[in-house]
Amino acid sequence: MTLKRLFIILILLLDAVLARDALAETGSEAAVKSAFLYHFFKFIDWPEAALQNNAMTLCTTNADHLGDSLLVLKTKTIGNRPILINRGISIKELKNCQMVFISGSDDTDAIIKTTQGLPIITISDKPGFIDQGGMIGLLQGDNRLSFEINLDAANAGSLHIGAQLLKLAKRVNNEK
Amino acid sequence: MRSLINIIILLIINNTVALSDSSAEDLTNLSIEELLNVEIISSPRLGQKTSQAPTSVSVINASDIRTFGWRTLADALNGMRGIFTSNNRNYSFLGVRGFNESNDFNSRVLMMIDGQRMNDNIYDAGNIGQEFMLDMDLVERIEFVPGAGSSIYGANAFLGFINVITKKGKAINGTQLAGEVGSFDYYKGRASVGKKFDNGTDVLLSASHFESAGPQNLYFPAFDKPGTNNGIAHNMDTERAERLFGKVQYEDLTFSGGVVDRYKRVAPASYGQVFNDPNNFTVDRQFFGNLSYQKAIDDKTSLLFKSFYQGYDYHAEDVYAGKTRIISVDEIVGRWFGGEAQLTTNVFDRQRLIFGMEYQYDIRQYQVNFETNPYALYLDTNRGGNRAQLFAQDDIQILDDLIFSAGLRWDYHHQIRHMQLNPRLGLIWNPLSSTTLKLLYSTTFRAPNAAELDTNLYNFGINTKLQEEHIKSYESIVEWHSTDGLKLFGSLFYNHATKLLDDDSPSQLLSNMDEYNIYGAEWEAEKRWDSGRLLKASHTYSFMANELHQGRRAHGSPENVFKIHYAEPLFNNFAKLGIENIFIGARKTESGNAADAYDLINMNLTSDRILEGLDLSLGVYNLLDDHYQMIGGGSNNILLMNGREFRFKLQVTF
Repeated sequence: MTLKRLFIILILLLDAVLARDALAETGSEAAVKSAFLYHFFKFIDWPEAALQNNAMTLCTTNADHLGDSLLVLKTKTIGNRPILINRGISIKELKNCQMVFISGSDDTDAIIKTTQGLPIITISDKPGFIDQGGMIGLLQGDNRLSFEINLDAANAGSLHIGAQLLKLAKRVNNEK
Repeated sequence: MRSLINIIILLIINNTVALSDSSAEDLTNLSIEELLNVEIISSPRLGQKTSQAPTSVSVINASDIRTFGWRTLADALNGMRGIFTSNNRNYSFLGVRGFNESNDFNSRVLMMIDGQRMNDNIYDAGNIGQEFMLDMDLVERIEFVPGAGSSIYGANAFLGFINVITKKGKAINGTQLAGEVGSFDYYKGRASVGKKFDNGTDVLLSASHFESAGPQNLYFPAFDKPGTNNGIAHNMDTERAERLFGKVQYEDLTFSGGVVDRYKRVAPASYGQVFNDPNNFTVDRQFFGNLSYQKAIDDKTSLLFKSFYQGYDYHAEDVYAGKTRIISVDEIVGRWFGGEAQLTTNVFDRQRLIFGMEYQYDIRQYQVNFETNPYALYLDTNRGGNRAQLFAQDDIQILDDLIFSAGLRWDYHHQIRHMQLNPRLGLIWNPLSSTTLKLLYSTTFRAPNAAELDTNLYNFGINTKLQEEHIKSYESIVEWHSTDGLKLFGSLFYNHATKLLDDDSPSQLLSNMDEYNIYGAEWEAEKRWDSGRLLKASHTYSFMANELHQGRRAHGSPENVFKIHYAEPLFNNFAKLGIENIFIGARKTESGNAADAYDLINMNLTSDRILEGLDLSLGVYNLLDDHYQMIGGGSNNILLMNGREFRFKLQVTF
């Protein structure tokens, strides 16, 4: 084996080791929120009956301000289920979703009312969301995002929220 | 050569296999713990991941501002790596990585609020003291980019740029009243309302009033004679400022506007004014209105449009003793408007393209100086014209872990003769997920400002041949971070600045004469714990060689700047203590001696757990009560700063 070939192989090996996405320490708000949504899919268990269409569907009813960032989720799978994204659908159609992201101009009360007791995770970045009956609230403070969980609401929908999420949540509301 | 090409082809194939969709920012590969630690960033031309931006960004946020009790933007910036602020008892000045031109009103730093340029069109001043537009309580985040990375932002980003991002109404979420009292009759009151409505509209409105008497007696050794009150300036440090700021955001549309009006009595009488005369004062008034629209056209392309209207007024009176008591009056009016368009697209595989254009029309650049009693007009000028800028940047992902960033900016500026073309190049390598290496090169210019062009300084005349200043920046950077909040940063930098404006002797006219070589090294270590504890230390070594003086250290440039910030939550998060230690090395003065090195220690204790909605803080500034030295000017070679100061702040939100 010539030295040159050895060199090529070495470089390729090194490159294979190093060829992975760079880890970011900073990101846009939309990208961080989208990544949180992906992790919520991973760490929440839905009852089998709720997963009959063999995909995980994320829905929004209005302008969600997540832009392109949300589209990265389309390339991901949860288990062997792809993530589908249904943006800007009507409140009536939400029943087929596994997750609903509520933001800005959405009618929070109407959405919570429609999804109450169903295996649909409701997530919002509106302040006080979990006190309104929502399941996961995204909070922004200290230039970072965090989240809080309303365990009662999730339990009512027969959703199982993983221990890791509960551990990392800023606040878990299960006072009842 | 053939084998090299083979390697490159093989590398590309190898990496294409590993490639996922790189068009949008993807943070899903981070663990949820890491996500909780991701810092959110928004300077629109930086791109999204700062670890991949061809710059070295440093960031402080609202919580840091609260923890360390920074009262002005100058206070906060003084806590950032590589910056050292100075003060002449009227304005605050920024030094960046050893570079300090005293009295340049920060015209070599681009100052922005939410991405909107704030430097005025007379002095190109970037105000950072009480004459700055915003209360620190309205600031969500401050981003600072020194040197090389900044050039795509335009002509004032000579040494770097600062972007101050304002809070959303949602962050206030109600009505907020704040009151502050402090040493030297310091009082400040602020009322703000903020809310995000159900239809998505976010509104923030805020007004404040500040006043401070300053030390009752200030001592100036240069005036220590019986005829000038033995050097005592009595009640000469008075300062007042009023501010208004508002922002409305609905879907893709944001309107923001603000106004600041600040009065300062000027004690030092550095340039022949009558000492200890309360009629020596300045008034700075600045306003802006900005409408911006940001829209994602599709998955890969987004557009940003902006329009703005801004103004700056300056009024100053100086008392001189001739046969009569003469008052010299400066009246300055600047008005300008403009717009901006920017397109960011990822339509080409493995590339991120930014195209942008900016336009500014200077409506008025009006400067008047006259004396009363007897009346004499010395200066009455006005100018106006176009500034236009086109820029493009392409971040090409050569390999999955290697980005080549190429940017080019074209400038037309009515205050200089030639169009300017400036490149910015960067190579960004992520050999490990935790490690980034960057090599950066850029050049930029600064046009002489209206005051430099038109002011007939001390009646020596004006130089009609002034040209733009130039700088070339080179920087190499290493960044490393752990998964649990530890960040390390190291940089070696070299800047070469030429044709800088200075008073030429014997003509006393401004001319493009100065040349500096600035070499330096900078490091920073920062660790944030989940508990809220913070430890951050940075050190900047620099040597700014004045090539007009045989490469000797330039005036005003400290060899070392060293900073430590420590924050500790106390009593189970009931309170938080922030301690700040800032060391600035000795700085040579024009007359050959030096302002001594000093070490400034500030402490601030905050608590928001006493009552719901109540936030209290107690700060001690300059704990060691050291009357540290700043470089003065004119007859005051050295100025002594205030000793220990206290501030108590109470804020109620409901």
